[in-house]
Amino acid sequence: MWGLFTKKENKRLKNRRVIKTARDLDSINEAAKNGYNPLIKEVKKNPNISSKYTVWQNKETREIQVFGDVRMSVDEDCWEEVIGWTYYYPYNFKTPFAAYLIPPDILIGERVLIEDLIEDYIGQSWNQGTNYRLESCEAIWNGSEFQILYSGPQEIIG
Amino acid sequence: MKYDPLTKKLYTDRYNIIKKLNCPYKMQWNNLLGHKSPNKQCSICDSLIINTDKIEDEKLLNMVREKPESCLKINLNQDNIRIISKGLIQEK
Repeated sequence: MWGLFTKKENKRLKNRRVIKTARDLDSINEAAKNGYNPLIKEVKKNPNISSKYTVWQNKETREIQVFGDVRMSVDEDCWEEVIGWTYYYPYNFKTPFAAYLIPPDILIGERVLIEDLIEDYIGQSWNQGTNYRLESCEAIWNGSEFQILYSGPQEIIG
Repeated sequence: MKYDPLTKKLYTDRYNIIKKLNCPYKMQWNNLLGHKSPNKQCSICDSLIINTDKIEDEKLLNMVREKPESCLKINLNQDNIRIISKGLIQEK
């Protein structure tokens, strides 16, 4: 029974449709000319997504080192902290809007892979207080929107 | 090991690159076929996916060099990984 399930699931994963995202005016209009229906969305930052850094400067050479992990080690006789731990949003988008490019033959209820999510979901959560965004996710098309099948932070594979 | 969550590159502690972690199929660990070992097998491309949480970095580097088609699984919170974000901003 399990074998049958995995065979069917493997076939689905191999054949699932990949939804592309356009992130600027020209690429959205180009897709529309090619028959896609651009589903326009605002790009909104999730305030829970952040990275962090601290900058240390060599007292003699004036070179700097940038750290992102509190477990870093530095010789404080030679280096001094010039920017303390600072949290920031670590992504930059071309425009404050983007579009999922909906193919004309998509079916209601179709389960797809969104390759480049517009929405900010937490993809990886680090126990030092930072979270990184989820890049891709499966979703189901309901005829006017995608229902994103988000299941929480994930392991990284590649 | 050292990992940069923005470039997705995994390095040894001596900054030799092990691999860029970017699965084209966006597979999730929980959906992969189980193995008796800590590792798993990809159900799409059949690659071995190495669970890195108990492996020393030089040993892992050698494993990837021997079998470059292997994939890796990491978790930001595993004890043998340091994060090296370095204040980067990822352009999308």
